[in-house]
Amino acid sequence: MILVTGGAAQGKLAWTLAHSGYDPSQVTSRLEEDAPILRNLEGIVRETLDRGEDPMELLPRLLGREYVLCREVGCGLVPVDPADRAWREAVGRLACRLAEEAREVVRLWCGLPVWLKGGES
Amino acid sequence: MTVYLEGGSACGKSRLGESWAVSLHQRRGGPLLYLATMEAGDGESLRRVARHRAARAGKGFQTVERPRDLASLELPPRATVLLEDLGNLAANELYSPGGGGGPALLSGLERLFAQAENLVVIGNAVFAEGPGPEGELGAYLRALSAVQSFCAARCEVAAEVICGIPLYHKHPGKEAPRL
Repeated sequence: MILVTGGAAQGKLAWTLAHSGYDPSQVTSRLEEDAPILRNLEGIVRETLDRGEDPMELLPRLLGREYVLCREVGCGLVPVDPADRAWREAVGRLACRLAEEAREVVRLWCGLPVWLKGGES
Repeated sequence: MTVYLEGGSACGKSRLGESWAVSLHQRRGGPLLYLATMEAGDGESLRRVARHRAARAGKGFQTVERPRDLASLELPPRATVLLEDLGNLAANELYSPGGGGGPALLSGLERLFAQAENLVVIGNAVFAEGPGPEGELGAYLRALSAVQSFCAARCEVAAEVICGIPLYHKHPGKEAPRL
């Protein structure tokens, strides 16, 4: 599994499609859909928390993907809303665990990939 | 050796900072201190403190609670210090009763750099999302940016932490342990 992270609109999906050779039909943002590229993990974490479940339990269903895309969140002032605080911390902790298991970790910055783990760096 | 690590919430910066501090301490000996800056008030911050304490347990840190005024802190000789974190320290200096504002924040760090044998400082990446410096917390963002820039300039090693992995912006190479 390759974990692709970075801020909003930094080119995570465009890079993943170019790197993998897959087309957009092979991308999903729904955990129940079988596709090699799973995007919007941060949104899936939010829905999981809203259901009262532990996002860390998503891990086994993420490791089987070829690519997992997750926006880097938590780089702003601490949100006033407790649910927002819990969400960004849950996203951060899950991303740390995914990075431990991932073969490669790539961070997109202005469209440029920076390998944090494995790969071409 | 001096190390500056900065990252967003739950990015793994604490764990990496602990690894750095333990590694530096093992090389050089002396006391191993965890300089804690959070003033835990509500249940959420108490839970946060408990989680960090559990993560540090068994690693040999002696905890020193110091929410502000680092300038008057006397360290034992040859200490390895992990300071966590600048975001809390800045909030305490700027907004708590008895806080000394931005000047106390900077002079406190200068004193710490002058005294510690090894220093690992944890900073907070809070500038990429949410309200910018034109908002009501502009003074906080500017004070935090000033002290974090000072630390990044002063430290031999400086890195952003992303998904638990350091992206080194300053690195002397052979001195850095593999973590």
